[in-house]
Amino acid sequence: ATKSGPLAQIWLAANMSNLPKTSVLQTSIPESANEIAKASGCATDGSRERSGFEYITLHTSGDLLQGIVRVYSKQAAFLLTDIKDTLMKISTIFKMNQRVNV
Amino acid sequence: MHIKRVVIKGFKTYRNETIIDDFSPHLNIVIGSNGSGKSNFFAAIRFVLSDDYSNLKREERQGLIHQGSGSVMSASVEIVFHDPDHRIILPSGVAARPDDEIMVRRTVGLKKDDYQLNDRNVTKGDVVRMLESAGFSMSNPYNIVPQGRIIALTNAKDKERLQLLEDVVGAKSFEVKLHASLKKMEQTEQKRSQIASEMKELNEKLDEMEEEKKELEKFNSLERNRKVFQFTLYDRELNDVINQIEKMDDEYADTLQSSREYIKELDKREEMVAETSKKLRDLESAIKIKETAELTEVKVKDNELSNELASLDVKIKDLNRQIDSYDEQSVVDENNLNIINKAIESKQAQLSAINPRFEALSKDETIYKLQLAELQEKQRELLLMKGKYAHFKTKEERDQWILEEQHNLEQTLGKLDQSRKEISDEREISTKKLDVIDEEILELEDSVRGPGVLAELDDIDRELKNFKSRYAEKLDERKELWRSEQKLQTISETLLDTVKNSERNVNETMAHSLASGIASVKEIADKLKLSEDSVFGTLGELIKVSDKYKTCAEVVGGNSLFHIVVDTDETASIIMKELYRMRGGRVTFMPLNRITNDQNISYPPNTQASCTPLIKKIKFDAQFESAVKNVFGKTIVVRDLSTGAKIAKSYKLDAITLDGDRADKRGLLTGGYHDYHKRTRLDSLAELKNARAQHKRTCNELNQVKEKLHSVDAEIDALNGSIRKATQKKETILTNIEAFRAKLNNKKSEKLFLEDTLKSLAVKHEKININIKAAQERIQSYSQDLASTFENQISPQKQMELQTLETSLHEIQAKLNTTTETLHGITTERDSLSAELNAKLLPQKSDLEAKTRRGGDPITRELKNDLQMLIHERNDLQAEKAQTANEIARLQSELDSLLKDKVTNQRHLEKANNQQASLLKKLQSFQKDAEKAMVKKTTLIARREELQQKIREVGLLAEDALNKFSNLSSEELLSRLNDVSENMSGLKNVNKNAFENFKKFHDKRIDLDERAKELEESKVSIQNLIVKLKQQKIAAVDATFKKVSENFSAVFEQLVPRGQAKLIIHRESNSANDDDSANRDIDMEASDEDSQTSSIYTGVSISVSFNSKKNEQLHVEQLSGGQKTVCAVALILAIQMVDPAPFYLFDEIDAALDKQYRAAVANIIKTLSSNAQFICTTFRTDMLQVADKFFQVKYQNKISTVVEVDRQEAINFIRDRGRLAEV
Ligand SMILES: Nc1ncnc2c1ncn2[C@@H]1O[C@H](COP(=O)(O)OP(=O)(O)OP(=O)(O)O)[C@@H](O)[C@H]1O
Ligand SMILES: [Mg+2]
Repeated sequence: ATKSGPLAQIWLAANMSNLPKTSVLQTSIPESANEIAKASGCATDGSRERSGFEYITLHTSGDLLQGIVRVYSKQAAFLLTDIKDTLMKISTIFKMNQRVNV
Repeated sequence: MHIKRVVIKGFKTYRNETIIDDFSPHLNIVIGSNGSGKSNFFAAIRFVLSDDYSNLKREERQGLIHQGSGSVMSASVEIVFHDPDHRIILPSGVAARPDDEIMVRRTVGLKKDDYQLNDRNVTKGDVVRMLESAGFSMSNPYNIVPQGRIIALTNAKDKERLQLLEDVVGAKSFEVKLHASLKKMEQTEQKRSQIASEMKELNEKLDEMEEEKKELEKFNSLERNRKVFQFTLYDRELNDVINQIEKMDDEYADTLQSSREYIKELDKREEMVAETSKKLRDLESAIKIKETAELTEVKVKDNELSNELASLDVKIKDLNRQIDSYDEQSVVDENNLNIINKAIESKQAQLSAINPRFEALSKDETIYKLQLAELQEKQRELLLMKGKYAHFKTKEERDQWILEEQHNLEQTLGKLDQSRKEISDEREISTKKLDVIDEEILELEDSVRGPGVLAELDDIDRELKNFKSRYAEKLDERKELWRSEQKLQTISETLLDTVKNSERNVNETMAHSLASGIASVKEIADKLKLSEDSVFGTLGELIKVSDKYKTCAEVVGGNSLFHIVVDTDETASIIMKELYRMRGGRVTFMPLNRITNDQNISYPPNTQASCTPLIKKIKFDAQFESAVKNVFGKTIVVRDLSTGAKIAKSYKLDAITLDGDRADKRGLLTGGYHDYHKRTRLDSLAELKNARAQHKRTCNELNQVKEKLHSVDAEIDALNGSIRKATQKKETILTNIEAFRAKLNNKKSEKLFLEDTLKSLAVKHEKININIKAAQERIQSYSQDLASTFENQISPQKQMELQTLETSLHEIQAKLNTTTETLHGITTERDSLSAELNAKLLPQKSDLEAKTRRGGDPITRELKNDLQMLIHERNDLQAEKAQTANEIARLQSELDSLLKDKVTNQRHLEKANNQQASLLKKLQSFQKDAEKAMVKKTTLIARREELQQKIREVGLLAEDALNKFSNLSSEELLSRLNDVSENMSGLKNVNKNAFENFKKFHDKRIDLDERAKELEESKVSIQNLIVKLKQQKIAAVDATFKKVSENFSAVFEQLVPRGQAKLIIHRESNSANDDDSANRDIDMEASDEDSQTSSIYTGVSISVSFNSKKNEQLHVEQLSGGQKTVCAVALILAIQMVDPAPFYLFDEIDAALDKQYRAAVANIIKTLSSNAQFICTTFRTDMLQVADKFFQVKYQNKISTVVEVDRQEAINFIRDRGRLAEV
């Protein structure tokens, strides 16, 4: 279930050393967190019935947790660099305008 | 997943590569003596699959590598898993193998320690992760139990057991990961605060931008107004200018149109004139050829034919006469021959009639003569005797005489014999001679009349005939050649005229001195025998230009077209000297070896279709490239002169339009109206070249014909010679034959003579025979006399005889006389007959026969043949003559029509020339008008371009804005424009990019804001997840413990039916508020991780009873070794039921057990082995009974080997060992 389901991206994130930017930005963390919770057996409503459905082991959920945190961290890093980039561009534009006006 | 194969090499006792293959996926047993290497086999597996051998020191490594004979440098162990369900997930980069096998290999040397997966180098971490994914933990492999360590599980502390349990659940790794995740979260939080501050700055800057944007909007609206004003003003003027230009263009187009029409007309006339004069020239040359060559030729031929016909007629008559006379002669000859033949026949008949009688008579005569002679002899003898006898006195005397006589006679006899012999010899010789002569005669006859000679004669005759016919053929051929020679001569003359004409045409287009110079150069080249490869002619002759580009080429070429191209400057100087000497005019030379061209002429790229290098449109021989390039290389042909001039200038080239207007590289423009009416120089040059080539070709042909004539003459001479030779040969043969015939006649007469001699010899022979006979008789009679008595006279008997002799002599004499007489008569008659025959008739006959043979049929036949041939010839000639007559008539009529054509063409030409002159005048006036218009137009166009440029600068404007001010006057517009410009100068520092900048960054801002918000949400959701997962973990440990504990009790009961056991989990003292702890703040929990084991449990203890179900719950410390083993086995198997590992390795777990437990353990393992692989060692038979596969370790020379054995062998081995041990 882990390999091709909604958590495939997260699973890959946990196991791969470097993640492609696009896939990082496309991943929705709240949704994935929800999925992990479901898969691990702690349903959102809190009830714990193991009716036939086989939940993933603790081992795997640890992996997935690590994966999702990595994605989260990466997203933050990307956002930070994007903001910095934008700032840089704006300031160069300002500088340029000044030079033009002088 | 199970272990399928183990390959050990250089590891401990396994020195050589040892392969233990085909492990059962169920229960496998390894047996072997103490110290044989069983534990080493297990160690090998642990070496790869557990953490026990990590971080090896040097000595430890040494301990693993085989020690002993032979140096082994490294130890390697390879474990091959069979994984048909694909439980193992390979790390990225490692290829899966098609047979579902996965090879894990670890190699240890003193300096290396490598892991390999499917022959690919990997890190240990990769292997750990891979095995974990398949449910096997390397860090805590409770499923691999080394020798003697089974009790350790029982002896372990409670906390260790708890860890084991948690490990089964996976809590430990979860814990580690959770910890890492929390740390990461913290780091990220830091980043987020940075994000917030940067965001703030960004927003400030963007606000500033918005400010700028508003300013810009104001400026833009002002500028738009200004532009509209400007545009409207410019537009008005532009419209004005354009209208003017258009009007001018129309006017110009009209002029151009009409002038074009005139030019077209002019061209047409020009063409017509050219065509008509060409036609005229052609006609003249045709007439000349017809008159001087063809007509005269035909007439000459006609004359010749008549002459020939006449001579032929004479010949035919002559021949006819000859044939007639021959015929007459032959008739006469035949008659004569008949007569002579008849005469011969009658004479011969007479002769044959006389002949028998003549023969008989001559026989008789000889007989008589002989008899007479004989008798006379006898008589003489007798008379002699009679006389002698009378003288004798005594008998002795007589006898004396007789004896003497006898002796004499005998001598005579001998002589006679001698002569007879001679005669017969002579006869023999003569017969032989006769034979020879006969042969000779035969031979001669053969050579006179034999088939060989006749065949030879025939051959020669045929050859002669053949030669003669060929001779005639050749004569005809020569005649034909003479005729064509004549014709070519005339053609060549007319062509020479054409060449001169063309030369004159060319000369008209240039200065006189140049023309005479060119002519002189030609003369000099001929005089000095300069080859055509050194003086090539004028440049214009050497190039070919299509009609379209002719004008350009002519304008560009100018006088250079008449430059003379030569191979070297030497040639040029030779000619120049000569030219100077004879004051032959002026020319310019282009020595090919001296022309240097600018190497780096570059043409505008081909894509600009508006221009093309002129040189590409000129065709010329490659050797003249440099000369042609020199003149035409720097010019491009352009469609439009003004743009063309620009291109030309940028490439340092000259530009020229198709009409011949040109601009050179300095940008100067020349041109205008070029002579349309003049014949182009290039055309004239081309025509001249053409005419020269034709003339040369004809001259060549003429030469060829002359050569042919020579060869035909030679052939005729040769044929004549052959004919003479053949005739001579024939004559010699004929004289030879004549000579042979004379010889033949000689031989024949010789033969006759010999025959006569033979006959006379025969007669002589006969005579001698008779004489001999007579002598013999006398000798006899003398002997009789000798015997008789002597008497004085002869005996009476002899007297009698004498008397009878006398009478018979008379008789015979008489007979002889009569015979001789008759014979004489006959002989004369016969002689006269044969004389007539031999001397007269036979020669006559042979003469006649020879005549008929030689002169008869063949000659007449030949004559007739000749006649036939001549008649044939005459017919041919007559036909030919008729043809020539026709030809003459045809030529005459053609000539007439040509002359008529000539007259009409001349009239046409005159008319065309007149029209031409008037057209030219009109054209000149047009030209002046056009030039004026052009000047005006250029200034207008310049203004137009200026305005267009300005409008372009103003840029695009909205449609409605353009029409806004259309009703304002131009002055008002101008003042408004000034106002706006003033207003705008106040806003000078406006940022022109503000607008788009703002737009660009506005979008970005929205995007970034959104993402920041999202990040916040993510954080919350992850925190939630962590809380949930923690709860989940506790729940999982709980659940697992419960199950393991249940299973433990069950397994224990199976092992010890009377006993009882259970697992007890111990909670922390403050475990009551576990709900609180789960809900505590995550951040806090993450920060003091050390104090918090994240577990609410402290340990797991075992409580057992071996003989009672109720009481005596013992703690493990109190148990015996065997009981501890039972507990440990039960625990392992219980865990196996909950969390099945893929395989189990037990090294002598049953060592401490007694029979009862051993059997129980064996049974449980057996049942479990249906789901998991077991590899065990044992020294007991219990497990052997239930196992599937057996391997025996053997130890020899300190080296272990492993072989597979069957169950019975294994059991036997154990039994033997046991017995040995007992002993
Ligand atoms: N690095 C080494 N090189 C060569 N031999 C070694 C090495 N390490 C251990 N040995 C030999 O291996 C033998 C021990 O083998 P092992 O422990 O596998 O025996 P075993 O079959 O398990 O015997 P037992 O039945 O007593 O348990 C010893 O004889 C020891 O000398
Ligand atoms: Mg051992």
